[in-house]
Amino acid sequence: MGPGERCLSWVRPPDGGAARAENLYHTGIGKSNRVRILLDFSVPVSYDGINMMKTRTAPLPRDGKPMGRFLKKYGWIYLPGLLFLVLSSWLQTQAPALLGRVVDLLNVPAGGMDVPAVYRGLVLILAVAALSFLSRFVWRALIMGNSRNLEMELRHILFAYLLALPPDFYHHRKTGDLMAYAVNDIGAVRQMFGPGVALTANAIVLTALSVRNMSGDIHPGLTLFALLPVPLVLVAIVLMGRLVRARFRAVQEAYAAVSDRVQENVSGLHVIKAYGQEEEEQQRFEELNRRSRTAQLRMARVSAATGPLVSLLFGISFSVSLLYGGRLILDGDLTLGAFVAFQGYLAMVVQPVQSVARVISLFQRGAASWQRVRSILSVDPSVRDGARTLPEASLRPRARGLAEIRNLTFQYPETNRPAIRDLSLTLSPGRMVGILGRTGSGKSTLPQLLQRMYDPPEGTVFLDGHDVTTLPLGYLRRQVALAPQEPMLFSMTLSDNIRFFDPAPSEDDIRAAARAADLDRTVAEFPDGYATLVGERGVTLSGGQKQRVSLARALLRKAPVLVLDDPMTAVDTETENRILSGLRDSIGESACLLISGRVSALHLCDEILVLEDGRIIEQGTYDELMDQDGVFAAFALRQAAGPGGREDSR
Amino acid sequence: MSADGTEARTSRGAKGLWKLLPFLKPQLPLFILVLLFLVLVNGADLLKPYLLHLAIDGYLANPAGAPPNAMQAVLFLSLAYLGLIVAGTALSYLQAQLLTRMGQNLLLTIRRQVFSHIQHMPLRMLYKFTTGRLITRATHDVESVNEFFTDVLVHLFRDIFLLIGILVTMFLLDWKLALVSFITTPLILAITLWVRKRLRKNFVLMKALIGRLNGFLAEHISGMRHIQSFHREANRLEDFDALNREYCDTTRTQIRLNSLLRPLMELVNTLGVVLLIALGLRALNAGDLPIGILYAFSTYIRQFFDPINDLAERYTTVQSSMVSADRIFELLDAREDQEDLETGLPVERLEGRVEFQDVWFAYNEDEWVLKGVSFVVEPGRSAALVGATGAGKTTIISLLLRFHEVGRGRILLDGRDIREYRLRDLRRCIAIVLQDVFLFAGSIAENVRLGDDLIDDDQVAEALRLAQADTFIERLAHRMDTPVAERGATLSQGQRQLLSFARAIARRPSLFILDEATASIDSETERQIQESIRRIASTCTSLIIAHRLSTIRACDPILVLEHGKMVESGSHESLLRRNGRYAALYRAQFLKRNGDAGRSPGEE
Repeated sequence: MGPGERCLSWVRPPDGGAARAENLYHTGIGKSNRVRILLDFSVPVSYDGINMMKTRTAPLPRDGKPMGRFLKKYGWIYLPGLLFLVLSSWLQTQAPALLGRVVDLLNVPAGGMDVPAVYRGLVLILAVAALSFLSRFVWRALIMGNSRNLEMELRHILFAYLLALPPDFYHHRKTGDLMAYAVNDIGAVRQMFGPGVALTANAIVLTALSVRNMSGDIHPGLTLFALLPVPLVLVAIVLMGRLVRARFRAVQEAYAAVSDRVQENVSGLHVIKAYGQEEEEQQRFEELNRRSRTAQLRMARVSAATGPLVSLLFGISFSVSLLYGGRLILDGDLTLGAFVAFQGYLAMVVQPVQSVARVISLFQRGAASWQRVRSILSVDPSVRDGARTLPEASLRPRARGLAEIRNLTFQYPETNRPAIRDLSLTLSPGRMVGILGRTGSGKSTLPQLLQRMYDPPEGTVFLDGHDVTTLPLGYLRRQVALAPQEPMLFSMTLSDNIRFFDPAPSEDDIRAAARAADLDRTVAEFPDGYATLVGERGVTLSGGQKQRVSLARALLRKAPVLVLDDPMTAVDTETENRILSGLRDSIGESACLLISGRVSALHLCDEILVLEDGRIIEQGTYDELMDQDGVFAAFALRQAAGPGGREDSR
Repeated sequence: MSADGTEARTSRGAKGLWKLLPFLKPQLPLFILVLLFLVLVNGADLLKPYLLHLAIDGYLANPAGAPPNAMQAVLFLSLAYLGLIVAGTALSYLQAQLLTRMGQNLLLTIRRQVFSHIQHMPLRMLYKFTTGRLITRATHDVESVNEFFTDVLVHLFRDIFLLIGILVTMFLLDWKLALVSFITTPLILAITLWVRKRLRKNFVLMKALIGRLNGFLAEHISGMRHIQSFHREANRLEDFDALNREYCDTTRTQIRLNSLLRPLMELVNTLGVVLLIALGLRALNAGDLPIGILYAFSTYIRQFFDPINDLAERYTTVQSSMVSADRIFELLDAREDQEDLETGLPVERLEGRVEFQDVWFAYNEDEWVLKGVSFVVEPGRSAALVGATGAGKTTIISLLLRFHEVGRGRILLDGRDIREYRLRDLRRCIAIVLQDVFLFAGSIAENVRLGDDLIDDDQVAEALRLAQADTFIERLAHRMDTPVAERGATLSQGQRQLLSFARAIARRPSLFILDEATASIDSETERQIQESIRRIASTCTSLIIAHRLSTIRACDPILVLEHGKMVESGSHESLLRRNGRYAALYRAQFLKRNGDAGRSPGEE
């Protein structure tokens, strides 16, 4: 960083982007809350827009039903899993009875003990404990582990599906919202199928066996009295669980307000300082801060009561069993060993009952999240290969580069005005066609249709004489390379960003493409050259540099059709001219469409179309248009009068 | 991570935790109360097995030989048992309440202090603490430290109290049996520590992988258009699957380790009880050992594992709290850098005479960015700053607002050194419009007002009108009360720029500063912006950083900067006549058409 850049940076927070990214994963929510969020999916995440999407019943053919796919691959694991679960529960419920028997063997008048029997009993206890340990470990590893398989499968299906959804889908929602599906919702589904299933199965088997042993082998009356408070416990747990959830939501909202405030404040600190608003900000923050505390205290009043309440009610159970059991022993109706065993069983029932609230909420959240995941998976990927798609083998591996648009009128979904009206143009190998138009003239719609990001009406857009809607998507997009106006660099090296996940090009190819985008001299300034890491964790590039990387990326493809969608808005005029003059050589026999808002960029074009409101209003060569004294000439004049002192500023 | 690294971080972090003690001080009475309650709750817990021992050995072990009042005694013991439970429940509820209150008070104080610190931090510190890190300090780190107090500290005491309590009770009941009971303790310790250590290690791996996985997702979702445009879907899915699989494998390791710990402990506990019985057998058979004691001991043995496991589990929290505390104090300790907004000469309005007297400035020692800049702008005039990127234009403005202090020389406002004014007042007299318009969540009106409640609705409307923002606002559903989305996403660049003008106008500044936008705006909006600038400039002294020379022709003086020095100044005409640097720049820009000639002023 030179001193010049240093002095600029107070104006702009140096890493606004990183700030947002960091916040996305930390969600600004503190650790304890974050951990809770991993478990608790009542997190308010906005899912707006999801209902607006057209949905269809049949999911993508290649993935089948998401749950079916998982069950087919991993479903069998549940069989041994549940088997071991039942086995371990049964073993567990043997332990109190065995201990009780040993106690009775021990509880005899001094000297009368059957020592070998005691030893046998102890060995049996140990053996049962060892087996119980093994089976518990096995079922947990199987069932819980399987929920992780499910999570992996779902995440794979979701991402694969996202890859197939067209830009229109992404237009409607924020990255953060989609992340919530992948992180929170899939997590909630996993919890339902892992801990949810396991807790439920375990609770049912363990409770049933315990109660059977208590009432069958020990004493039905004692069992009845001791378990009397249990329904009460259940009701209390469910009611309080509901209250806790509501209040927890308030806590999260309050916390989110605090962290949003902090994030905004820090990002806009330069404005706050320049306008001297520090005190006001602090007051506003204090209010949110206090509100967060109030919400926390309100929640604690209920949540802190749940545990003690349950132990209180079970405490009553134990007191009752002591009183009534004591009476039975004194009356000679119960042995001490049976009493000890009974206490053991009672302790065994506590846990399943306590977990009822958790199980209920696991299933509620899991089901809701499952619905949300399904809602994404049922969005219609409107643009895709279908029955009309030509087999790739019937096409030439490399198109000739003859792209044609015939009388195209196109309207984006959910808008009421056509973006393009009755437009025709032809791109042919070695020729460069320019399009001039201001923002909103529809000029950026053309590349979207040439690449079939949206489906153009049938019979309007052609490549090599084939209607693009009949070409395999992959084929089409290999033939048409696009340098977009808004570049996006991934956090990897410069060289990888130019290569863009294509293993084929050599380092020399990459360098050549970079040279064509006038990037080589910039790269030479970086200590690591092409290996320089860019993006969040690496070097921050200026807008112009990013655009040039993105341009190199498109040039590297050497596609038969090259579309440049105003990709040099942030590049200074001189550099732009240098790139454009070199472009004629580097594209060779490719057909090229150059879209720009600047007249000066188009002087090398063989033909120029002027677009306004989706229509071609002027057409001709640069000189013809200049002489015409029309819109183009007016543009030229205005842009020359107020010369854009654009900077490729870092 | 090397062992050394962890070591260093821990020791530094521990210092951070000590520094937190002052925050705890006002909460001390609460804290002591919480500890007291904890002791009582633990006491109640420990008495329960003892009561059972009394019942068994006194009456139940030998029903035939039980005294006649046995039933009353059992009744009494049952009631005592119930009483213990009720008391324990009430105390633990109260304890939790107090603890939450204490924690929330702490959280409130720490967060307030951090936020206030950030408010008073000079902007240059943003270099050191980037935006993301500052946000993390005030949210995640504060929460993490709070966790240390509410979660770790109290559990630490509870666990230690419980361990000591169990030990004491066992030794009081039967010291020989107590020693026998500890045979398995080393085993418990060893297993817990070993499994926990592996869990921790694997957890770090898990966290790193889920971070990468989420990063991958976020990046690909926001760059989906590009992936599809280049048809790299299959390739991306492949990489995603590899990462997804790797993460899944670590989580399954975690599950296996987790599934191992508790069942293994129960096995060891059973082993302990079996050993206890086996070794107590002779004493029991000889009638030296009451069976109820044996029963109580078997309960205590089971209670031993939880606090040990708990302590091992908290270790991770302690570590992350230490790091957080350390990071918070790294911020709070930089106290000498805090801006003093209050002291100095109070001022409501300035005439607007700006004078730079031989101002030198360097961000880094001896790398002078400004080298003896001097100029005067008389009240009511419009001055322009012209020069290449890095010439020092923006630096001049940041010095005027005292975001930085001058190295040598001085800056005068209305004939007085700016350092004499109250900083808050100084900045309030100056309205600045920045290149990068920042809009806050809230309505348009709120963004114009920016927290200053003295600006009423009429003044907001007037400011919007003067800024020419009224035309597009008319078309919005709720006019001035329309919310602007995050970072102004729903408004165009030009519209946002107009709003920032309104923000400046509404303050009726004495000095207006404009860092002219470089982004490409369509010509209609550009004309509007030019008009707004003209109107504002007519009301007060203004200082404009110009990138397009055509926009500042009317300014006088035009100050031309080059490499931190003022090379020329004067009116547009006089500078053109002079035929120096400005004239060259102007001609270069004006002639640059059709791609011929010229270096733009932005290039170095």
